[in-house]
Parts: sequence; C-alpha cells; structure tokens
Amino acid sequence: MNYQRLFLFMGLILSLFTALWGRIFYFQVIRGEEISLAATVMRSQRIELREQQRGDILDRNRQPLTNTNTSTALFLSPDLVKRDIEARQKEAPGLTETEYYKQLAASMAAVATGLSGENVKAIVQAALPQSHFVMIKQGLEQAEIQHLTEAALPGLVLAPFNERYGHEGFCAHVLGYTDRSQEGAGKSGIEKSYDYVLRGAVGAPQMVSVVDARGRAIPGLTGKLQASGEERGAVVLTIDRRIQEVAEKAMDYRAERGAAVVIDTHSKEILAMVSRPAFDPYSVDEAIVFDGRSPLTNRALSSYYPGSLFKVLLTAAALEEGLVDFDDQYNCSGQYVFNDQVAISCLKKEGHGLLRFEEAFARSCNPSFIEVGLRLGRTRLLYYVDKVHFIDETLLGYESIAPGSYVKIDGGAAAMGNASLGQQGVMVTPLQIASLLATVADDGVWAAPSLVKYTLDQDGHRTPVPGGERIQVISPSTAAQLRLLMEQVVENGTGRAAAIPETRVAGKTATSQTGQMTSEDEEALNTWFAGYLPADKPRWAIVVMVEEGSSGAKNCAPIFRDISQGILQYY
Amino acid sequence: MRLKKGPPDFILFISAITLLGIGLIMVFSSSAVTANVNYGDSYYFFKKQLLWAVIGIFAMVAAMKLNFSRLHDFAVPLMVLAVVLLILVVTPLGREVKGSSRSFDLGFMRFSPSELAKVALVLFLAKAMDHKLGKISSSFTAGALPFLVMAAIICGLIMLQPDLGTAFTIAATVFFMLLVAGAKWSHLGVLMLSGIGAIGAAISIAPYRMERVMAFLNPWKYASDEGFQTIQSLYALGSGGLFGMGLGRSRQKFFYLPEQHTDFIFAILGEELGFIGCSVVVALFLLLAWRGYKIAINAPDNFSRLLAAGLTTIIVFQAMVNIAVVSGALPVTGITLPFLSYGGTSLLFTMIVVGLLLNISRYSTRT
Repeated sequence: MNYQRLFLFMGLILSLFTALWGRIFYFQVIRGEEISLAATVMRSQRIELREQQRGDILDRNRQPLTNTNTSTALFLSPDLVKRDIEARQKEAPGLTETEYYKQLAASMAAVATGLSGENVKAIVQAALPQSHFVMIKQGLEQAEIQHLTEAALPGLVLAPFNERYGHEGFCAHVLGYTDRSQEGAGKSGIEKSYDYVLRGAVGAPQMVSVVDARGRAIPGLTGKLQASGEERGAVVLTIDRRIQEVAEKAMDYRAERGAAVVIDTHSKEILAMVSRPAFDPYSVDEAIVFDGRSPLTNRALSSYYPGSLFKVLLTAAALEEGLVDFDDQYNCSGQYVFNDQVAISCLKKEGHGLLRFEEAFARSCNPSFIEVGLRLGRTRLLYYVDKVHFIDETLLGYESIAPGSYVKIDGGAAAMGNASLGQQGVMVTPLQIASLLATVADDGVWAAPSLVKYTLDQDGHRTPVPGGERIQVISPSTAAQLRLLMEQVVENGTGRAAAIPETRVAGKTATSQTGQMTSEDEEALNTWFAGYLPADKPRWAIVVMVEEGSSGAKNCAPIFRDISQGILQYY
Repeated sequence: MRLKKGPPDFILFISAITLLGIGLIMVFSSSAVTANVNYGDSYYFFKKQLLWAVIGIFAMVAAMKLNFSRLHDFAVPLMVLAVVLLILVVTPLGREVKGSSRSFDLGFMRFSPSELAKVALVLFLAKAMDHKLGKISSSFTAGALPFLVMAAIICGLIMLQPDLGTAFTIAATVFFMLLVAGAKWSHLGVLMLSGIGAIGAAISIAPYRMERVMAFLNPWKYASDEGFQTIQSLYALGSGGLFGMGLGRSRQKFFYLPEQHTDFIFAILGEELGFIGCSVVVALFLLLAWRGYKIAINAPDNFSRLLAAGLTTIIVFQAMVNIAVVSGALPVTGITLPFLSYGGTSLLFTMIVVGLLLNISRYSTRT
C-alpha cells in the first residue's frame, strides 16, 4: 500500500481538473462573446429578401425607385432539407434520398409545377456548399401561401421578397436594367453608370429567425427583419418619385410614343423623365427583338425637330439684339415665298393677315418668324444657339449621352427659313427644350441639368454630384418678355388646351414635320408642348413630346395639363 | 475485527446530494424540448430520472448501512453476476440502440450491466489485491498480471457492446488501483506504453477513428460531420459566458447538441448557468475527489483503502473525461457525467458508490 502514490494521484486529479477548469474559463469567458455570436449566427436562418444584392436607386426624397415590388416567395433551405432527410432516415431507415426528394417535389407540386425529384435534389446539392436559401417561386398567390403554410414542409420557408423592378417598367429608361445574376451587373442607365456604387451594397434587408436544428422557429423567438439603419451603396437621383409617377400615368393615358421631362426651373434638377413605350426590365431581349417601336430608347434624350419651339430661341436672340418689338406688325399671307420654286406655308393656310409680333408668337405664325430669322441672320442665330447652351448635351451625374443634337444651317434664305421654324438643320432633345424653358423661367440663367444628387458608397461616404455653373445667358428683361409671350400662347393662342384652373401656366406648342410617312400614308408629325408653371413665379418646366401626333395642342397640351395638376397636388 | 464506528463523511454526502439536485434540474432543463417533441411530455426524462434518484438515495443509504466487515463477501457473487449479464446483454436479450447493445429492457426500466460491472470489478480487485498485496510490488506475472487479465476480460466484454468509454474508464481505474496497491513503476510504465500502443494500433487499423482524431484536433474544419458534436458543445459553453443565459434558456438544446441530456449535459449547464455554474460543478467534483481519496487514505484496512480509492476514481475519472470531451479537450467517447447525465442505472450505481464510500468513511482511523 502506498500513501505517497495516493497523494500523488490526488495531486494529478486536482491539476487535471484545474486545467479543465481553465479550459472552460477560456471558452466561456475569454472567447465567450465571440463563440456566442458564432452560435447565434449558426442558429439563425438568413434569407436574402432581395432578388439582387444591389444597392437601391433612390429619388430626391430618398424614396426607393428600385426594390419596391414585394411579393411572398417560397424559399428552400438546403441545410434544413438535408437535416430532415437524416431525421427521417433515422425513423425509417429504408427511405432513400431519391424517394425523399420525390415526395418533396410532389408536395410542392401545387405551387411549383414541373419540379421533379431530381430537380429538387440538384437544387439542394448545388446550394449546399454555401448553404444559401434558394428561391423556388416568387409572387405567390394567397391560396398558394395558405396551402404551403398548412403543409408546413420542413426546409421550406415563406418570406417577403423584393423584386428589383416593376414589370410595367417604372422609370425604366432612367434606371436602366441589370443582367439576371444574383449580384447583378448594370447594363444600361443609372444601373450601368453607377454599377460600382450599387454592386455589393450592404444593409439590404434580410429575414433573420432563430431556429432549432430542424429548422423550426424556436417558440417565443420570432423572426426579425434586419436592415442596417442606413443603406449604403445607393444612388440618390434628382427624380421625384411622385412627379415621375404622375408623368408616367399621364403619358400612358394619352400617348403611345413620346417623352416627357419635368425640370426644376431654378436648380435645373430633373424631377421626372419619361419615355414611351415603356419596357419590361425583365424581358429586355424580347423587347429588343419583337417590339419594333424601339422601347428601350430613352426618347427624352433623343433628338427631334423642335418645330415651332425653336421660335422661343429665335425670339430670345431677336429680343437680345433689339430686332423685334411686341408691337411690330407682320403680314401673313399663308405662306412665305422665297422664290418661284420654294415657299413655306403657315399653319393657317389662308394666312393670319396683319398681326402684331405678340400675336405671331401666340399663334405660331410661320411667315412672321421666317422674317425674324432672316433679319437676325445665320451667324447671330448660331451665336445665340451657343450662348444659351441650346444644344449643350451635358447631363450632370449621367454618363455621357450622345443624342446627336445639332443646329446646322446651310447658306441661303430657304435654309435659314426652315431652320427658323425648327425644321431642317435643327435637332434637339426634349431635355434640351426643358433646359431652354428653365433658362427663360429662371430670368435667363442657364445651368446644366442634373439627374443625380449624390451617391452613398459602401463605406457610407456621400459623394455629391457637383452642380453646374450658373450663367446669365440672356438678359432678365428678354426672359421676362419671353414669359409674357408664352403666357399669351396659353391665354389666347395655340396653347389654350394647356390651361388649368389651379394656376396660370405658360408655354409653347409645336408640330414638326418628320419627312417620314405613317402607316396611313400621311406625313408623320412630332408634336410638342413645352411650358412652365406657375406663370408668375415659375418653379417647374415641363416638356411633352408625342410622336406621330396631329398637333401639340391636341396631343401634348393635355398631358402637360395632367402633369401640372399632378404636381400641384403635392405642392 | 471490531472497529469503532464514527459518523459518515458529511462533506462527501453534501457534495453528492448537491450534484444529484443539480443533475435533476439540468436533466429537466436540457431534455424538456426533445422530450416534448419525441414523447409529447416535457417531463418524460425528468420523471424517470426523479424516480431513479429516489431509488438511488435508498440504495445509497442501504450501501452505507451494509455490514462493513462483510463487504468483501459481495465481491465474487457480484463479479459473476456482472460477467453473466455482460454476456447476456450482447445476445438478442439486450436492447439495441444506435448499433450498440448496452442494456436490458425490463419494461418499466432499463438496466445497463456495465454500470454494475464497474462497481463489481473494483470490489473484486480490492479484495483480490488485498490478498496479493505483497506480490504486486515484486512479481509481474504473479502480481499484476492476474488483475490485468480480469480487467481485460471485463473490458473485452464491454467492447463487445461496444462501449469504448466505459472500457476506458475501467482500464484507467484498474491502472490506478495497481498504482496504489504498490505495483512497480517499471511495470506501470510498460502498461502505459502498451496502452498507448494499443490506442495507436486501434486508430491506425480503423480509418474512421483517425477521422475522429483529426476532427478532434481541428473541429471547426469538420464542423458538419465528425466535429459536429464538439462544435455544438463549444457553442453551448461559449454562449453561456460568465453568468449563463439563464436556467432553461439554452438554445443549443433545440436539437443542435445531440445527447444534450446525457453525454453533453455539462455543455447545456455551461450555456444556461455560465462559467459560475460550471465552476460550482467542477468544485463539487473536486470536493468529492478530495473526500473520496481522504477516505481511502484514512481507511482502516487495505481492502477498504483500495476499494475507496477505486470507487472514487470511477466517479472522478468519468467526470474528468466527460468534461474534457465537452470542452473539446478529448475526442468524443460517449462517457456520461456522474450524477448529472440522464441514465437510471448509472445514477443508481453512482449513488451506491457514494453509499459505499460513506460506509467506509465511518471507520476512518483519523478524523
């Protein structure tokens, strides 16, 4: 018998226990927080509630323009399915995986048709390594949701799901679209220009719920919607979602093809930019191949003959040069004859007869403005085209666009005459017209229009898009005179259809010839209305252009009216 | 031989009863969820354990009241009974669970003969070593070898079930009893080396054991399969922190940690009661070890000294290995934590061991 050894052994036991105690201390106290966090993550199910891990594009009030469509979607958790298989196999050792997947597919058949056992197996096996939830179907109907809730299949989870775009194509021409990958790569529009900001954004909402190892929620611990306070990786546009909606609705109601632009006359920020026809960002390829109307083209940034809207610029130049006065008399015979071969007719075939300049503008008398144009001359006109940045294509915050706008006037009176009417030799975009109107409304101050206010990168840094320089391009008095002229257009000229009861508006109609024939074998006319409101203290300039219309008054003025009234609902 | 009878060891008694109480609470807390899901009754395991605890207390008192001088008379019959039952349990009479046949299903209760075998073997070896005390320290073949053969038979029978953990506990206990009985260091050294060699051989012939060792060395890498239990156990421990998540608030018991009310009950305890709770349990086992070995040291004769040392070792060693497994210091072996883990026979014999120790403590030569 050996006491010494007994003591020795006691000592050994004591030291081993102490070592174990230390080890427990290490895991519980020293690394406790870290392990606890890892355990929480392990027990949590995370479901990406977004189609793409991509930052939002927000409007000027930080309302999202993307990810606004939410539907209920069915997700499958590969981990939970795997665990369920193991559990079921313990109960019934004969159950093969193939059989299990067959059953699972069958129980989902009511919702997701066409899924075979092999499909489900392949989905699970592909997703297992990253243990990602896989979306089986989005946009579930109420009956489907009920069916799935009652079935309570292990491994299947229902959650709200954000689609990046609406199928109707809200704001689609501005936003652009991405490819269909999980990460998403911007293919056009803001999505493309700001891909570096939007990609891999953080703070996207996730559904986090604490579940037991079988994937069922632990009683008393409900799922939480998790999103960091500030979403990072976002682009904030100058667009006002409400005005954009109003404008899109108005265009949808009254026009098949065309564009509308709303711009803040002072800040020169674009509040709405619509192009029609719209396209479904989810069916871009189909739109390109099957829709002959080029729906992907952003018509607000495409060039057109401005027609009589050019008279605004012409008048600005003539007033600046002191060449015209409101009371000047013109005589309109119904056409302007250059020589034996060439004559340009007026809208009013029988002629306006004797009329004052003010009236000529209100009624958009062509011969009178040809006369003004000829008096001004090509050189001076081009000088003012430059000075007022008429064909400046700058759009702050947006990738360089190439609308191909120009003012080219050949020698000779006829060419000058044509150009004076905004036909041959003059091509501008609806946005450029909006910019011109904003200059007039803003006492002659021009600044480049902008579409993006700032970006928020992943680190939360805000990068503003620098505003453009404000330049006095026409005198305030000229601008004021132009405003009086445009008020007359709506009051008793061609633009009476644009008037609204809420406030006085001002503007100018235009109808331009395209030289192309419609299906009815008539010459296609592009129609315009460009105006601003309120007339006394302008805040918004609105340009509406409708392709293949009959006249600006008929096709565009009502849209202008709708948009104006829509804006005034909010302001 | 007449001996003066004193009071039983109070500290040992209190430690054991406290551990028993903590065990009952933890069995309920850790098993409630799975019991509810699998049996429709949250109290399913708790009720059984409570019944066994009551039986265990009676058994402890009975063991304490046994005639001290006649204790050695139980050695041979119990040993024979244990061997017979160990043989029977691997026949179809035994109840097979998860590929092992470790217990008899008696309808109202289950009985695991290896729990009996542990106590019986210690009793038997104490008696036998007492007789051959002189030879143990001199000759290997006449001294240590017969005990080793006896132990090897029992371990072999248990390995048939198979139950590596219990076999390991028995081997270690026998080794320690030889050590206390005065076996030569050289003999013990050879034994230890051959033990290590045997473990090495066992690992090298079965690749799955190698994987377990690898998983043990780097559980995070094997988190999804072999290292799963260890990881889940560490998650539970770590989540507890200093003060624990609160009694009943374990998350890991929601099916994450397998064997949460048996082999890994200590992890749930750590999660719910934190480092403080773990320390209390560790301290109680240390207290138990101290009193147990003290009883051995003060025992009136060599038989009771060897018996007390062996019995204490069974409990303490098992506790140590269990906690080591739970804290990832040893590979998963399947050893339960005495007093705390769910398991009727185990609790019953643990209480009997405590009773026997208390019995011996009444005859301490010193106080």
